[in-house]
Amino acid sequence: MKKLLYAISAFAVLVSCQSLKEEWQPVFTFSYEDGKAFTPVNMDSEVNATIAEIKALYTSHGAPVEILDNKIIKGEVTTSDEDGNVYREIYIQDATGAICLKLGRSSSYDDYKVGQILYVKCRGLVVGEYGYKSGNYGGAGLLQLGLMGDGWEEYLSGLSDTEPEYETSYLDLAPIINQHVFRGAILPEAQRVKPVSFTGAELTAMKDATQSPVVSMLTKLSGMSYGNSDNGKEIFCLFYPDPNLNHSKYESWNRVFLSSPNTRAKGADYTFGINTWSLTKNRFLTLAQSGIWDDVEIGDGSGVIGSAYTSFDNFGYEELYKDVIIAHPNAQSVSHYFMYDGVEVQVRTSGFARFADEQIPADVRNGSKKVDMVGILSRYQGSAQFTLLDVYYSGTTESLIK
Amino acid sequence: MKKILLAIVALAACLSLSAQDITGGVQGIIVNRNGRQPIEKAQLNLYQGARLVAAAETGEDGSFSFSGLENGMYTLIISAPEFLDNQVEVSVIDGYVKNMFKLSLTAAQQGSEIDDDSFAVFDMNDSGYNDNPTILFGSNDVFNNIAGYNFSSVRFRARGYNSETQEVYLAGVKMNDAITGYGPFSLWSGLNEAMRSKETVNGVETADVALGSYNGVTNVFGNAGSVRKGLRGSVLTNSALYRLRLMASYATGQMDNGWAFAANVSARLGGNDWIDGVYYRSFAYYLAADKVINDVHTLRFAFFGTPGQRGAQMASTQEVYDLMYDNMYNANWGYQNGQVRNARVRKTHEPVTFLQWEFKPSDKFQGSATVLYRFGKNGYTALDWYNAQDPRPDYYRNLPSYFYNENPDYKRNNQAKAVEAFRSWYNEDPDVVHMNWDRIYQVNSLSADGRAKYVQEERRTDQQDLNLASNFKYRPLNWITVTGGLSAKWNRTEYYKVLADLLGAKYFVDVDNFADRDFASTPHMAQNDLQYYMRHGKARTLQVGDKYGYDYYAHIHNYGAWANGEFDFGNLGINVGAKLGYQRFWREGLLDKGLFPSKSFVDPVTGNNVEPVRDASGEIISSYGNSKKVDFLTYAAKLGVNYVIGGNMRVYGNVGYFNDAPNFNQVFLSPRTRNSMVENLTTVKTFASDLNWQYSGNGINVRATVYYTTIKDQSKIMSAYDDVQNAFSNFALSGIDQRHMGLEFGFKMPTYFIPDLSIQGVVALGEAVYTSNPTMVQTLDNSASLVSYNGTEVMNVSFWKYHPVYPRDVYGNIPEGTTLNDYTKLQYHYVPSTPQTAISLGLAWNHNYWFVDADVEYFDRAYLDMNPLYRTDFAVMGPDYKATPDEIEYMATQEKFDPAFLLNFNIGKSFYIKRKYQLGFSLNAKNLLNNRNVKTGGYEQTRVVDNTDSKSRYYRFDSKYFYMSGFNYMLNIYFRF
Repeated sequence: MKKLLYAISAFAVLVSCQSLKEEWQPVFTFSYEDGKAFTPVNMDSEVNATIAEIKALYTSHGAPVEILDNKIIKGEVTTSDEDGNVYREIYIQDATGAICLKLGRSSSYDDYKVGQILYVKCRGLVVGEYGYKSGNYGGAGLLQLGLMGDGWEEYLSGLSDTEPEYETSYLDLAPIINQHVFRGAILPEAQRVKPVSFTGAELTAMKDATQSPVVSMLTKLSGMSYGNSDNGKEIFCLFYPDPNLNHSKYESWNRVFLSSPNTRAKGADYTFGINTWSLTKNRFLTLAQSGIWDDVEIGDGSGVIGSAYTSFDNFGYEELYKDVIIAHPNAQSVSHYFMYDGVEVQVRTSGFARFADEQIPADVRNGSKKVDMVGILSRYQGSAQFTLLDVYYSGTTESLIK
Repeated sequence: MKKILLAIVALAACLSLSAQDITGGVQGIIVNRNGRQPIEKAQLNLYQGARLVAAAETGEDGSFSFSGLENGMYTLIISAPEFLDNQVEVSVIDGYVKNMFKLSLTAAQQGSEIDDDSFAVFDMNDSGYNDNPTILFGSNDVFNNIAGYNFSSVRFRARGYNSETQEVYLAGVKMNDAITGYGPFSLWSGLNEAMRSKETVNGVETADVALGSYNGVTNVFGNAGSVRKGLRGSVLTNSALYRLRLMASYATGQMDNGWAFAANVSARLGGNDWIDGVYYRSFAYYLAADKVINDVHTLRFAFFGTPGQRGAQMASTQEVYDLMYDNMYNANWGYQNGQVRNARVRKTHEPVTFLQWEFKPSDKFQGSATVLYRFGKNGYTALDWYNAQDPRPDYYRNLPSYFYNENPDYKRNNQAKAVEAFRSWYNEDPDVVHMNWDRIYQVNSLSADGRAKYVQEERRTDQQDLNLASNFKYRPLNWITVTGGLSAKWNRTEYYKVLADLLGAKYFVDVDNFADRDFASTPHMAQNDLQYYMRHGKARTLQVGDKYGYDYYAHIHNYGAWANGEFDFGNLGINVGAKLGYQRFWREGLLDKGLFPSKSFVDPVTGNNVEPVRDASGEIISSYGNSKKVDFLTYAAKLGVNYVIGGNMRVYGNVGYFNDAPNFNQVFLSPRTRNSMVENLTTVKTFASDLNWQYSGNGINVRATVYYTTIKDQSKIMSAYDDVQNAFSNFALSGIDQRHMGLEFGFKMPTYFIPDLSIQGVVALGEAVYTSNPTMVQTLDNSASLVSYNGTEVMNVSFWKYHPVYPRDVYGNIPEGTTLNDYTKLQYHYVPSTPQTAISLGLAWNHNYWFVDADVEYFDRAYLDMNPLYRTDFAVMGPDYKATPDEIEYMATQEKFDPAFLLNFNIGKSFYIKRKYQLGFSLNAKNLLNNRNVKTGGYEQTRVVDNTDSKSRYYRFDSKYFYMSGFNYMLNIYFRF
């Protein structure tokens, strides 16, 4: 009997030696200790460049610049993607300017907080431009910091003749982000960047100033009134009746512009029933089904080709545009036109923004009240765009969208 | 003189009566209940009261005879090695010899330790797929004996049937899960000694406790008297599942005072050699008592449970396995402050108790009535997150393939990112390849106000399951045996979530993430608890232990009656049986959910009047309260014919027709959110038949079976995130038909040239195919409307049954100009998740308490579970609404797993110490060839790559797989007193 007990004990001891291995940890862990706490880094001593200096590297349109030097910048996060109107990117700002950092992660505000200091090791990153258009009706776009856009290396090295669409691409992958972006302290509220205000003239002046320091800055535009420069009301929304299809390459007909015609009438209403900041999928469907878009002009990029009740050959199926639109509802971005200090500003809101379905107050839309907006001053083809972060009745502090 | 004569006559009469008394006797044949073959050397003890009157042993033909018995009542106790004892009441009347004809013994389960514990918990990510294997029990059936153990490593399903078709009873009560139909083995896993005694029938055969279905019946006795007498203990180590099992049992056996007691406890602890993060912290207890009140009445009581935790294994894509150079990679775990933590842990404690009354008023009739109650908790943890990144390390956006694909149509052409992703996986960066718990804690700790962005939830399915079952066996004539029974089941299962861990945050908020995203401007729609919102004007904040998310009851009421008649005409036996059932079930929502309010209300925040959602007929689609009640009348009938040839051989066949209700989980479209049900519900119709030949004698055991089964009108609901709809979706399939046919062959026989060496093998060759194209409707959790595809809401899954195969050129491409009608054949699709070819061949040597087995196994024709979306016109046509031969083959083809060879080896020995103790060991070594490329299951993801360059077609998401462990062993050391 003793031998038996010895044998069993020896066996048990042998087995329990396995407890040295990780596999036993969850067996004996009845409650876990908290995970490792966040520890901010301080790389102030390594910072050797400003945001303005990084933006200054971009000197000619259509030529993204890869940063080969060991440049390290420091900036404060000014945006959050929590509300969804900034998506997959964050804006950082220092005393010299601000820039869009193309992180490529959704819900990045969980890791990168407003008011947090970020250190960006720029070597290997690329400064590129989005939204440049040449000519009188064009202008500079938005400078961004990211990776080299897909296809650009081949294009710049002469291996490809086709100019790719986007000069920069998202960092996307956590290991890549972690190689370049380092999280510092979160500043107390009082020490954070405050939105700056600009005059209408300053907005106009940034049309061709590629490295303009005001672009991408946290901005407050006060006393904005709803409407365009013709005293009319106007929105802009481009969507694709069948989003599964191409819209430019093969099927140019697959585009609907909800916007004013090229010769817009003074004082006209070109809002197409859209009185919310943007269009969620459900709102889109409601409007499409309501008939309010039945008379909308369907364009193919070169002219008007019909209305919602125009039928077309959809891969062998004769279908009405309206039916296709209703079959493929989707959230859509909408730009509302506001006047600020005599300058037309497009206030752009994503259909995935949490406040997309919020109505712009009727007293704002009818012009009886003005609003103050906080957001990121952006630029597309030389024109001022405003990425809305918050909005108030002028002179008040109660948000209209939160 | 007269007086003298009278006295003489009286004396003579008395003497003659006396002489007549002692002419009484009992005779019969002892047979194996399974197979009816005679049992040689069975021991028979005949008692009158407590007095042993006579003893005998059966002959080669199983026969026995007692003679010279006085009139009276006797108790005949029959025992035989490897069989459960049987006790029969016998009356001898008028000096006749009572012919008991055939008395059957039930085989005691031996050897194999296969139970629910033997299979890893496969985390199917709530997809609706089911990879549960069939658990085969030996019961002296040569096929099941070998296949049950040897095929378990590939999660074999007998005849390709779903595991829920295998009926499992405990003490005569059907224990299959009321909601899903799955086998209940997890309720008693770890109680191997207590639950060892069971009787099993195969296929369409009829059992004593139930008419059964078409995939066999197993009845576990579970009472104290069925536990092997004595004190037993064992220590087991296992390299594939858990490291250590300690088990002890004690049973008194039937004592003179009529009592029998039994207890069994066990602990299963630790991880394993193969799957990181998978661990057991499981315990089991069992207490039981039997009381024989008198010859007529016996009471049996048992109470047991298996509290414990098991870490689950997650399937991953082949890309992930290749990146890790490890097909055993498990994405569920990561390090939390340096400690291993699995995100998905099954936590269960569902005690079961039963009281059984057995009634034997005569040797012709015996009956039993059982009341059984199951209760407790069944939880499964998972991560939940709000407005945060998907934390799973193998999320497709974290993989190289998301950034680069050599097919330019994917528009994934960033090689630099792909290389970087590859590098971080190659280097096994723990923050990348495992769950990054530390980041989760940091996100939570930095969240504004301490609101959790990530939490660990526990999804609970807590059952209250009350059962009544009554069975009888009546033998009015020697050639007729009637069995039958009544049953009732009342099941109320509560589905809800509990906040299990705040992961460093201070609170969580009870809102529906998807609704909050889609309807952010109408906050009432995101409310999981609308009534709370109406009272407080905000969503409920949550702490650990709070219920949240969803909360509803599934109510199931089942009533059944069955009867079976066995007619014994000597060598010919016939049985005819039928059953009738009534099933009712409904959903009862306990929360009023904002998406589907039960009535109109005024939003306390916006002041808007909100109307409930209504269907086309104007009925409110509600999350709260009772759904419509669904009623089904079910029935089945069986016929069996059995012919014994020459004592050792028999031929038998069975046919059955079954009209079964669908399960609860096949009926409700989105039970988490509302009461909506699949339309046009119908029963599942099954015709099953088998023909068997069995030989048992001279040390040879053979069974050969052919079977043919058709199953029609099955339904199924699967859930997944749909990228096209950008929403969580439910896919409801109706009208799934299958055909199963094939053969089973098992044998064991002496080699003759080496003493004690046997050759054994099994062959399972089947063809289980789909024979219909079902219809599918898709719903979104967030919407009452059916999803419309190209204007159609009820979609035909046109390529479910088969798909056309087109000719290929020398380069493997479909030639230009090939039209849809130019196919060369139609390729049928197979019922998945089990090899349809399974063969085992081995040698077994038994001598002087040694056993040594070696087997080689071959598995082939196993297929991956199919996703219905890929087999629709929508998917094969793509965005351009044009199907091409290439698209059809690409989308509709069912993946066939590679065939596999395995080699197993078992050895064991028992030692008797001082004729009192028994010490032994068994070592089972599996997969000696260390084959780590054997897929045992998986599923296709129900999502398509839709953002292509050509905009003319869709692509599949990569499928996910589970693999069998490499070389593994189980060493069991046991002792018995």
